[in-house]
Amino acid sequence: MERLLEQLERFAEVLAASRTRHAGSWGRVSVRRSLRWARYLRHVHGRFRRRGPVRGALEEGLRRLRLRPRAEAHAGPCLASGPGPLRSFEGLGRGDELLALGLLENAAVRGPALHELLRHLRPERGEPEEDEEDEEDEAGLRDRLAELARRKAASQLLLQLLGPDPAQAEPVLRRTEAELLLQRLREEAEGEAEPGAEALLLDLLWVQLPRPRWLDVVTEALLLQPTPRPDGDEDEEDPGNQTDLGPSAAEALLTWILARPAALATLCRLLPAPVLSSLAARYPALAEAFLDLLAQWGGHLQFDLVQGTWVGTGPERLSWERLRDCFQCFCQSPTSLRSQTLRVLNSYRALDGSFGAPGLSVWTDLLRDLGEYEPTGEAEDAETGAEMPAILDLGCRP
Amino acid sequence: MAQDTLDLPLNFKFWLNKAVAWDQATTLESQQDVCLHLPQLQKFLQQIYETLKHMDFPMAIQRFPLIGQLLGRLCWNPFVIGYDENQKILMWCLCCLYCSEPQNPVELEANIWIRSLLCHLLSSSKLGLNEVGTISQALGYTSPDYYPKLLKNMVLSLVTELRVNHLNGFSIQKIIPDRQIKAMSLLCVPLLTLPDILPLLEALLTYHGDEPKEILCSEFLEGVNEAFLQKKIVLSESAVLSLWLRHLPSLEKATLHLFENLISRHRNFPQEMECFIKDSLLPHVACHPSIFRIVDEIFRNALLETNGTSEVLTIIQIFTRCFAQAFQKDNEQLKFPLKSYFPYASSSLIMVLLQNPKDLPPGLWCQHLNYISEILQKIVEDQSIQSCGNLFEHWFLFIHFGEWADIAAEELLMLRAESPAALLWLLAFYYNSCDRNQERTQTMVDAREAHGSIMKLFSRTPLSVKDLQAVAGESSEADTRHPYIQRLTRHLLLNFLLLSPEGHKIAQEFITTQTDEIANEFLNLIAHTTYRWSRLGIETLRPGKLARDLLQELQCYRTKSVLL
Repeated sequence: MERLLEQLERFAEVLAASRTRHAGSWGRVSVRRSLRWARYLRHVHGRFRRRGPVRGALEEGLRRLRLRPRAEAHAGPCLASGPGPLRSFEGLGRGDELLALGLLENAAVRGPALHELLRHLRPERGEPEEDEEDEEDEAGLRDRLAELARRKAASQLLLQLLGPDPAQAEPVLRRTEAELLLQRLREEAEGEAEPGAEALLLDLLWVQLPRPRWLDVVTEALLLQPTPRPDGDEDEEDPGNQTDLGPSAAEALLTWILARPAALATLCRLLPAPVLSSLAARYPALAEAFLDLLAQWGGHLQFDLVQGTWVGTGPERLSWERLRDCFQCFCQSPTSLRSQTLRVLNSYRALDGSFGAPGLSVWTDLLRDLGEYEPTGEAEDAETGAEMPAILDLGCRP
Repeated sequence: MAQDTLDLPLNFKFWLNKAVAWDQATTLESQQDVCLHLPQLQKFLQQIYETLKHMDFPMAIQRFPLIGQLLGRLCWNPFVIGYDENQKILMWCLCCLYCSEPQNPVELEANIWIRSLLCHLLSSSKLGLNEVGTISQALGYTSPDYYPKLLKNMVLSLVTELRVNHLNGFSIQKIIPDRQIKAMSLLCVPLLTLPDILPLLEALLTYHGDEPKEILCSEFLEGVNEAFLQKKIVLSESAVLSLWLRHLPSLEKATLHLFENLISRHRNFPQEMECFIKDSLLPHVACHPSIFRIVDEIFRNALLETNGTSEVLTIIQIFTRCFAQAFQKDNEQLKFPLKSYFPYASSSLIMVLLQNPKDLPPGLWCQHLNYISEILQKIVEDQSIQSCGNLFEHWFLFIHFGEWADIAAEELLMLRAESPAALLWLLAFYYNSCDRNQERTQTMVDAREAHGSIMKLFSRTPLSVKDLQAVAGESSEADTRHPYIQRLTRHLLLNFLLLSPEGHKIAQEFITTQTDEIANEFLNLIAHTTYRWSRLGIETLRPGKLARDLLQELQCYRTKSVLL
């Protein structure tokens, strides 16, 4: 077991190094050895796929690896965010693919080393030194890379079908990215690393991605419906199995958003109102946060007597229209969101003094605009009022 | 092959020209051209690789100066890369060409170029959109993680669009015009055997546009059928039904494929044949009358062309049995009237023939057979409807349900028939649907005689092979009886051998004295009989074990004699 963990460590280092300039010093022997390790670990993955003590120990080893400070020339925070490093048990199953691709894409890798790699990627290699078992594994690697190329070509072909306009392909791309995000979050969660790991990752994304992009992906990830799988069995080759992703991964994302005012503010400010409403409808915690924030901003609106409209004065410059749109969508939602929204609006209106005249309280005007305005005193009866006519009817019947 | 390698330079030029032409045009016609040539291209690439694998870069360039152009253009054509094993072979070729120690600028350039091509094939690149890779890279994922998911989502999106399109049916605005659907089907042609594409294949197959004419391109339909028959893809039954309903050549090909498979197998046991036939999905989709009629037409032709050999008869009978099972089991679906399957026959006859003997107690089989005989006789002897074709149709119908004839033969020997004449008539009709009255009369006389002599054998003890040979008509020099009477006699004789204790003892001895052809006939009869007994659950009422042992011994004997 010790030896296994040691090899795991060394291979993880090798894999990480394969994408850096350190790989420039590798020669034929190093490449051959690293491929052999990759093959061996793939065997290990195959043998211990069923969750058990060995798998647990390996995952523990991987966790420790991630937490170790990276002394190498690995630019970026200690969160190993670059491609390549082994993060999960599933990664062991495709270590050889990752290694091959890493070396291929790495400009620092020199001629002889790459030649050695390419030698392994074709059937007859001219040097019958390896035994049969390796041959089978190598065939496996070749087949998997070929399948990758095939799938890539298939994506290119089908892309044309999604529509002549590149924008028509966006939903598919966003969904894919959202799935990858959730998968990554799940990996972190399963690894039971320090609780900050997911937060670090999300922080990184927040910093690295352009805002619109970030918005799209995060919204998509939160709204993603699990796709029904025809076969019910657990498919370990596809770690992004939708049925596993659901609550836990999105929870991490949710927690992070709720803890980051800037992110919350971005969502409230920039997301289209219907989308914001769907998010709120799906996640009650978000609904509460949104309502609080919107209410807070709404409080900063002031009535411009000259123009006769409400104008945003706070730092967010939130416009009346935006506020109204958001609340309108919230009220149109079929779930409890509607009543929650009305409750908030009415309570703020009460705080303002429940004036009926326009221009005095932004909440009154909002309620009027939404068609939800009930003059004070009747608001509470509004719910029970519906029952009244029936009783009256009964009384009137001869 | 030597000839192929000689042709290689010529072929090379041909394929290079093709590659250039495909590069420049993105029309439907050029795409169709690519799809048409994909199988041969793969063979050619295989040949190129076989040549390249023994060479290094300088040699390769000398042999194929334009190899770079060819490989480069092909690698950038997703139709080519998406097909079967093209991508694998192209990668192998590239790996062959890479120089370990580049000696000159050309080789250096080549190395860089090879590397970039490989990266193009395998890595995430810009799919024509900006910053595509950013998020996946930020998350630490590369192409092996990205592309499978992307493809799955693309397929999902397209399938959903197709379904919605379908539902929108008669509304004015369709999301996808029919022309686009045709393009979609063409784009799927190279990708048919890729498992991720399967949902899209099924959605396309079950998609129907507004117009009566076919919107899917024929390359797609043929390709799917071929892949299905070669068992390279697994389709749902509804998809297969859809395919065969909308594309007649596919259905015909599937039926012929089944036929060839069944006939080319040397040792054909009824159980295996039944499995095979059920696997082909044909009996189940044949519950749709149009499909049944076409398959039946192919059977009819086969029967006529081979003059009614027993192999074809057997296939028809097993097929019909599987079909009847499927037909009767399909409770939810609308049942088509029987006449739509057998338009030339009377419904009453079809109904009695369709009766599964398993659903009747064995004691009533005789009665049922009498009934069948009665109906058939009436039809056959009715002067007003008598015509050559009509008679053939009724005989053709009857042989579909040949099981009843087998049961008739058995019942005749078990002496349960009150009027053996009716059963004998059935059996005689099975073997010879003659249309001339005198011939029929003569046939009945011969049949009665044969039956009589066999019944006498029951009382003869000890029984000798000579007695059997006498009945089979072999002792006389020239057996003047018609072949069909001989077959009828052998059928009855075999039943005797299986059912009488005396017959058991000399069965093997007798059969081994027969010619190969006749011995085979007996073997097949025994195999079918034992299978029938086990299917109908009457093994305990019949000497099932004895029959099986006999069969085994005979098979061993046959194998030995074949080897010697």
